[in-house]
Amino acid sequence: MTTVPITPDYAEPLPPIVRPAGETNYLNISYTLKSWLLTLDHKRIGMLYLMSVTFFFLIGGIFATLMRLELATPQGDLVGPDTYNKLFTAHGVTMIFFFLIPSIPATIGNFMLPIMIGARDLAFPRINLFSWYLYLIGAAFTMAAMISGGVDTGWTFYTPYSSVYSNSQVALAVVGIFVTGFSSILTGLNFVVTVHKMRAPGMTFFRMPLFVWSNYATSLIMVLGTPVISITLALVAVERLFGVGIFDPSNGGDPVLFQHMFWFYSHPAVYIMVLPGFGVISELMAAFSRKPVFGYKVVAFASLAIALLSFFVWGHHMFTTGQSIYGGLVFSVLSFLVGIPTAVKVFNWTFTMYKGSVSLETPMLFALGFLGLFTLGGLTGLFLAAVGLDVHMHDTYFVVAHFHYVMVGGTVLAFLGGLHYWWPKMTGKMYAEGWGKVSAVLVFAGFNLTFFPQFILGYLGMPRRYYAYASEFQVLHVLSSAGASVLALGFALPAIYLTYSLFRGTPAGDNPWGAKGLEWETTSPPPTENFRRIPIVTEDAYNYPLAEPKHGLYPEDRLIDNQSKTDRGDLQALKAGDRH
Amino acid sequence: MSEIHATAPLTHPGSPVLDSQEPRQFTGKETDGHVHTFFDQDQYPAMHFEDAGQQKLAAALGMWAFLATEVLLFAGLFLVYTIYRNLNHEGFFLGSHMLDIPKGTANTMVLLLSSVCVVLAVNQAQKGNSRGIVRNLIFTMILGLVFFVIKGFEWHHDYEEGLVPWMQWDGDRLGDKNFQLRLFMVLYFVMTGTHAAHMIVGMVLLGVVAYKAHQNRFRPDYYTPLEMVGLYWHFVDIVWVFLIPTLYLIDLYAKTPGGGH
Repeated sequence: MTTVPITPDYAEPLPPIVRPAGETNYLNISYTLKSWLLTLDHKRIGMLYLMSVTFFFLIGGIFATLMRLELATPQGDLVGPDTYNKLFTAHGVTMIFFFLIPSIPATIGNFMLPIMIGARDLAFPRINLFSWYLYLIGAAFTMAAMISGGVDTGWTFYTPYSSVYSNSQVALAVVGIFVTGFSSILTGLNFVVTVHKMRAPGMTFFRMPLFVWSNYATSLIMVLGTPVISITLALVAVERLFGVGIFDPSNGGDPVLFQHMFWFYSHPAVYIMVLPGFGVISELMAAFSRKPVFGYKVVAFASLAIALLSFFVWGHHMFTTGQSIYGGLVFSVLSFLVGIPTAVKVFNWTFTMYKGSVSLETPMLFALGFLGLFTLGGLTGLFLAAVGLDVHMHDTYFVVAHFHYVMVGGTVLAFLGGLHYWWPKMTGKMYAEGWGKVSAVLVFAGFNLTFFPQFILGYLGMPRRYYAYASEFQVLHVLSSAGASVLALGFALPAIYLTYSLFRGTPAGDNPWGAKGLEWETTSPPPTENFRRIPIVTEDAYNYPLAEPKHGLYPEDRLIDNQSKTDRGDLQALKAGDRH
Repeated sequence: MSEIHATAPLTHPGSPVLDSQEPRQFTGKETDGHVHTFFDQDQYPAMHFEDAGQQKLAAALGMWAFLATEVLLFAGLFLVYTIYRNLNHEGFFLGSHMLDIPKGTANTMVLLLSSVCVVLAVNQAQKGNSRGIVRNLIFTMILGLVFFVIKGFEWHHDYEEGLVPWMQWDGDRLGDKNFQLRLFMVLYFVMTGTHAAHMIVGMVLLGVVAYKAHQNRFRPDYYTPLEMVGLYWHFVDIVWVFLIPTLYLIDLYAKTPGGGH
């Protein structure tokens, strides 16, 4: 009987990374302002985006705070109806177009995607920088609209109110979103080309980390969906500026056509916001369970399936606008179909943790929070996809709660989880783990306190976008406002301790989590060229030591007696002998 | 992935730096007398590409992806047009008869000819003839200007007829369906206007590559910018080829203008 050595080949220690003295990284190569503003380095552009989206998250949060303060009492005592209309429009526009859409792809994606596939940069560095400037120019236009009187149409800009009747700064805001749309298109285009053409030797499509897959699917939506809203909003601007009728029914236009075109982009845009979050969660689940993602290929294809299906479900926003009943039914069925790949992902993340060695560090806490909140958001989405139920729930707080569970509970938690996970790589510094855990718990608790009452409010019939309400709703609204303050604290903490860690944090080392992936093979922070030498990839993603080895033994088998399991035939013969 | 420490070849065959057998120097290392930074603009292939072939393929895929975006942009306009034509065919047929078909046809010819010139410029680039590139690009730009001159006359004529919906509108000919003709003219100006905006961008890009060709920046194995601008110009032409039948020719065989069906 031969004895197989118990130490498998993958347990060989990695050779230490030899660092040349006084080595440069992308941060210390130059400290001038010019070197940042004219940088072509995807890592620096990612950091610029990170600062910008954080700023707009703060702005959008201030608008939300004012709304929650107003809603603490049933009467309108803090702001009047007009101001309230402008507040929820400003909150929606800022959060969606200037925070959520660029949040994960343009910051973490920009930084990590080339490194994860072993490339030296995105395919088009200058276009990457250009997209950041477009984003800022668009944001400047829209913020100018907010300051010079505001916009009162809601973030949906429904016609003919937006194109004919509204007296607010619609044209300016719409031009800003048009410009920002091109920033989003260029980011998506850059990612598509980078994934196709810039992968390192050996990095096949099915060895790519799932974060890359989900960003790839997101990019397809960005490239194919964004131009449609660009031209739609351009038509609204034309209608407003020239006083002609395109969507104005009194001039033969069709306002519902606007809604069709708007949601043709804006529903896929929901997946632009949440798909990169899915990618982050896949990474976190694997890294903190020490296991490969369960059903890697299925999760990868689920991203593409979501991207494809997302283009065929827009009508579920319009069940009450008088579209044909058959149209409504088809859109309802298609919307339920999106639930399948999404549920596949949720189940696969859960199975990834099964029998893994789960460690509850801050990123994993955010990921677990995501799992709970996103599942709730997704399931209530199925309520709203059912035509009969949606007629009851349409334009109530139930919808508000649903999409906040998806957008905040999903995207923002994934964003924070990813930010904590890759922060040591991006900055080379470790943040305060204890405060991180406090923040994760505060965000989870505060979020549920804020938005769960809104499900009840909506089910009881409280309409969205009202500045005053019947007094029997006050208890739930006060709960919601109280939760919002906890949530605000939870969001403020990372801003403080992450910034603090930049100056006083302990050096993180190259791979503080012991995670797999090319980004953990290079130094922290990475050099400008990402890798001293381009890596040659020889193994699948998430090849953690506990992964099922090629010779068919299960990890738990390896923990028992070596000899008896090396020869299963003998073992079975022994057992058979016992029986006799 | 421990192979990251292995000495992987940094270049593929065909790369200009292969001869030196040295890994390419990045940040701040001095080679050939001047300090190379990672994003040196005058390097080909650019530092983040492994070789010239990779850079060219990336540029081509990027351009095609961008054209896909552009297709979707115009698709929005064509969708609006299709829906409204279905609802308002009387006004749309009358409107198409008010457009100047000979001028539209002439413009189609001009644009198709300009596309031929771009192809000839690419052909000259493959032969390494910079002067030939510049010559053909100048022909292209002249034809683009001719298009604008003809289009300008056409728009001016529409203005004199009172067919511009937001400027002294005088197109009320359909009684209670006046809005139909107005809707058609709005879409006509938005669609041809969006196309014209793309033409202007294309002309600027043609000027840039013509200047590069004038500086002898292109070689038979490197003329990617020219090829990409050429693709863009062909796309703008093709959009016009779709606009012509959509706007001008929808009621060509009507016995009586406007009410033929």
